[in-house]
Amino acid sequence: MKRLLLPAFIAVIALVYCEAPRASATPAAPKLTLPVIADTVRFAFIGDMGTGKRPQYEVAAQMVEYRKLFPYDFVITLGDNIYGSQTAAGMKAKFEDPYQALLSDGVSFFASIGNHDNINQRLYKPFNMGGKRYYKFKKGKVEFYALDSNYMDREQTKWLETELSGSNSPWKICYFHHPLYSHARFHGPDTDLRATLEPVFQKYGVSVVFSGHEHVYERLKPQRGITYFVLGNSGELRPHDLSPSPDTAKGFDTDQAFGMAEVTDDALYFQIVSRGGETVDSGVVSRQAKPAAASAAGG
Amino acid sequence: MSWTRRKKIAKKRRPPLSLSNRSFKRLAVAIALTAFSASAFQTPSPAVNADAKVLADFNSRVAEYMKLRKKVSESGKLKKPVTSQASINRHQHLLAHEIREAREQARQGDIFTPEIAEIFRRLIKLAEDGSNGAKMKQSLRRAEPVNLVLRVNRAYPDELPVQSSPPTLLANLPELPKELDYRLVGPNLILRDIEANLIIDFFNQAIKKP
Repeated sequence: MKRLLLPAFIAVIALVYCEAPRASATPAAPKLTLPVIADTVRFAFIGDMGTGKRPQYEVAAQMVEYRKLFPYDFVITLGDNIYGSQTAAGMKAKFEDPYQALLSDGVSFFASIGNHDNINQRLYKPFNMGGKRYYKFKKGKVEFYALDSNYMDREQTKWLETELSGSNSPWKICYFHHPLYSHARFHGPDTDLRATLEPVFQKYGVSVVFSGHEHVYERLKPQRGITYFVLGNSGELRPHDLSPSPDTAKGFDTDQAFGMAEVTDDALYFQIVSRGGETVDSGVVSRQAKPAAASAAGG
Repeated sequence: MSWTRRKKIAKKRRPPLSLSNRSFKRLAVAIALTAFSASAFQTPSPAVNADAKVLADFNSRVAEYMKLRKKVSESGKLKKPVTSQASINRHQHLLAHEIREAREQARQGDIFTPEIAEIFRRLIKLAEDGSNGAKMKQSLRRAEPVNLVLRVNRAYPDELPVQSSPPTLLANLPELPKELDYRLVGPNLILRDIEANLIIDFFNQAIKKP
């Protein structure tokens, strides 16, 4: 019996080692699929990253590598920016240190709040939230709306509707933590949030929505004209959690990842890169046609 | 037949006004909520019904807390600028400390009295039974329910995630000042001071276990 224990132990270790997601021993050389056109809006996106563990740092290193080829100006975060302790030391280890190269190069971060985040992160200067749970900002022809999906009260939905209806931007992009669509097993979609937000997105011509929460990557086929990205694996990872459906355009659940996007007048190009530097998804999204309400108003 | 006689007959033939139990409840709550929102944080107008009276009571208890909070947050100690993460934490802890001191005697049920808690349960049940009820329940099941021993004046721990509050549920509850929010903790509902990250009050079994 004792003789059998050692081989069994070795077999288990070998199995765990093979199954455990890890970065390639030698990261792949960056290979950009984005067009890099002059005067476009370029940004990166990350979600569920604030672990302070090695994979987060390795994803951050890839973000730096890719920025040499694709000089993005800012990063949007899809929530769960900081897990656990939110002390100054925690913020340093889980945000300032991993992204130090980007921060010192002048890259701005625009955060949204996840269910693991202390709401007072809205006061943390590098997150550029202006002390608000939800807010908007504009870059070129793109208006971004960072929402607090933990607490979608009447005031927030009213604010969103007012802001979207008054916007002349051809591109409207919303981002928040909880996905409206997802085929990951752990959480699944937030159907009540979907019932509240999707009609507003449709009415006012939101073309693209980014979320996190699920520790995988998934791009959905357009749902009612809107393309949904779920990216919650920039630090955390829930391997093999995706159960793709016919609505899944692309999924990736075996390593950490981050995304990049480039927005032209009518198209949003995207590229998703794994911790090992491999491109796991890329493509282009068309802007949603001008909504009926805005057209009627002569916008 | 005279006009008055015809009117009398028509009146007799008209079926009696009947409302199902659920419809009646909805109507009562609608009246209560209308009265509530109209009187938000003001002296309550004459009560439309018993529910409106209880909700107006909730209103005034929240207003009372806000008065105390304003007094506390205007103290010199809390007026330092909040810039770094260290100062954000210091501010949060100091505000929580000052509120705790000022509410040393606070007990569970000071704001959510048994009557108020009961109305809240009914409002939540109404949301559960409404057209978005199934979606709301699904969202609740997927909201990473947390376990926490609740105590008034206790901080909500950083290490614990917050359960997301479904929009349908929030839409059925009375609005709060922006300094406060409702949070579900398992099946229980807490009233939290956001900036101080402090549990102000709570009641149990707000929802059936998700």
